[in-house]
Amino acid sequence: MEEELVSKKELLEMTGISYGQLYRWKRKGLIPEQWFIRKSTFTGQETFFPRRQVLARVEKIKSMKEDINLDDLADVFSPSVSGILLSGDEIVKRNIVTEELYAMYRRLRPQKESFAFGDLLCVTVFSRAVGSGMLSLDEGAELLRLLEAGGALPEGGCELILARKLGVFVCFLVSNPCTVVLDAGLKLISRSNLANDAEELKLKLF
Amino acid sequence: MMEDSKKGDIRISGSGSVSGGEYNEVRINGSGSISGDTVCDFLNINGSANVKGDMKAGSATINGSARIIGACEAGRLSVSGSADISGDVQAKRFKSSGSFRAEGGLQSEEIDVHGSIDLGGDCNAESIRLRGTCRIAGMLNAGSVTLLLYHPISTVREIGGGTISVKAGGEFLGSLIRSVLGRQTLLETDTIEGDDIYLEYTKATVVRGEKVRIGPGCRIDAVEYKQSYEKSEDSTVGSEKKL
Repeated sequence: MEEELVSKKELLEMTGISYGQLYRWKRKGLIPEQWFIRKSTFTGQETFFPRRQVLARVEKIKSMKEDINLDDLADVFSPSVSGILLSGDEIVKRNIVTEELYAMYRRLRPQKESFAFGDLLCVTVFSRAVGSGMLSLDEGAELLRLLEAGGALPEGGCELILARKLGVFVCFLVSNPCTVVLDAGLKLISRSNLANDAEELKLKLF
Repeated sequence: MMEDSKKGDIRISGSGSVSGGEYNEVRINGSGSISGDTVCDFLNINGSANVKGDMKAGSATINGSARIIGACEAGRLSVSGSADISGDVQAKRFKSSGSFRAEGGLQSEEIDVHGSIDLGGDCNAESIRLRGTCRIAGMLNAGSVTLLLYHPISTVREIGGGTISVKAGGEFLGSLIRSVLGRQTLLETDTIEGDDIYLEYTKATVVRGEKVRIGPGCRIDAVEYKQSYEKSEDSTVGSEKKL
C-alpha cells in the first residue's frame, strides 16, 4: 500500500507555516527525519512527506507551541518511553482513563500496583477499545493479554489490528510499516497505530 | 558530579600515552595519545593528541592538532589549529579557528568558524557563522546562517533555515581577485530554502523563500518567492516565480 504523499510546497501552503519553522521543527526532532522523502521530479529534487501523518503533526505542533517549549515538545513526539511510574489512583486522578473503565481493568488485573509507561499504554488502549463499545469485556481481556505480551513499544510504534471472524475475536500487533493481507472472511473492527496512543498518553501525562 | 573527588586528572607533558576512562581533567602539553573511550570534565590539548575512542567532555579546548577516531560530544568545543574526527560531533557551543573535519555530522546550538570545516554528514545549529570555506556533504539546517566565503569554492548539499545570508568575504582583495578572474562562484549547492535569503556568488538549482534577494555573481536555475524578490543585474536566474 503506497502512502499518499504531500510535497513540501503544498504542505507550507496548506498549513501556513514558513520554511524557517519547518526546518526548526526538523532540527528539534518534532518532525522525524524519515518523513522527509527526497524524490526526483521533472523540476529537480523535491521533498515529500507522508500526507496524513505530517498534516496531523503540524496541526498538533501549531496548537501547542504557545504553552510548551519546543524541547519539551520533542519528548512528546519521540517514540522512546519516558521514566514514568504512576499508582492506580493517579491514573484516574490524572484523567488518563475514567474511573469506570479503570475499575473494569482492575477486575482483570487486581494485583497491579504501579504503572510504567508501557503499562499505562496497555490500560489506555484497553479502555479505548472497551469504552467505545468496539469490544466486549472478554474480548478486552484478550486484547490486554496481547498488549502485555507485546511488551515495550518498538521504535516508531506498531499497529494494532482488531478483527472478528464468524463472531470470534482476534487481535494482532504488527510492527510498522508493512502490508497485512487479511482473510476475506475476517471482519476488521479497527486498525490503529499505537504510536498515536502513546503520543496522546504523553500529552495527558504532561 | 558526586564522584568529583574520586575522579583523577591526566597530565601528559612531553610525550606519552594513557588509556581512556573517566577523569576530571585531561591535559596534554606536547604530544599524547589516549586509547579507549574517555569521559572528562575538561579536555585541554596544547600540541598534538590522538584519541582512539569516543570523547565526551564538559569543556574541550584544542590548541594544535587533534585526531579522534570516534565520536565527540562536548558542552563547549573550541579548536584553534586542526581537528579531525571520524564520527559525529555534538557540542552546545562550537568554535573553530583553523581547519576542522568530521566524517559524521555536526550538531550544535551555536557554531562559529574561522577557517574551514569539512563535514561528511549534516550540520544542525540554531545559528552558524562561518568566515572561510566549507564542505558539507549533508544538509545545513540552521535558524540563522551567515556565510562569509573565500576561495576556493564551498559546497553544501542543501541549506534550509530561517535567515540565510551568503556573502563574499574579503571586501577589497576579494573583489579585486574576482574582477581579475572574472565572475567566480564561491558557493555551490542544490537547494536553498528559508524565510529571508540573501545570496552572493552562489550557484544553485533552486532557491525558495519568503523574501529572496539575489546579490552579485549568482547563477540560479529557479527562484520561487512568496513576499518579495530582488535581483542584481550581475546575476543570472533561469526562472522566477511568485507563489
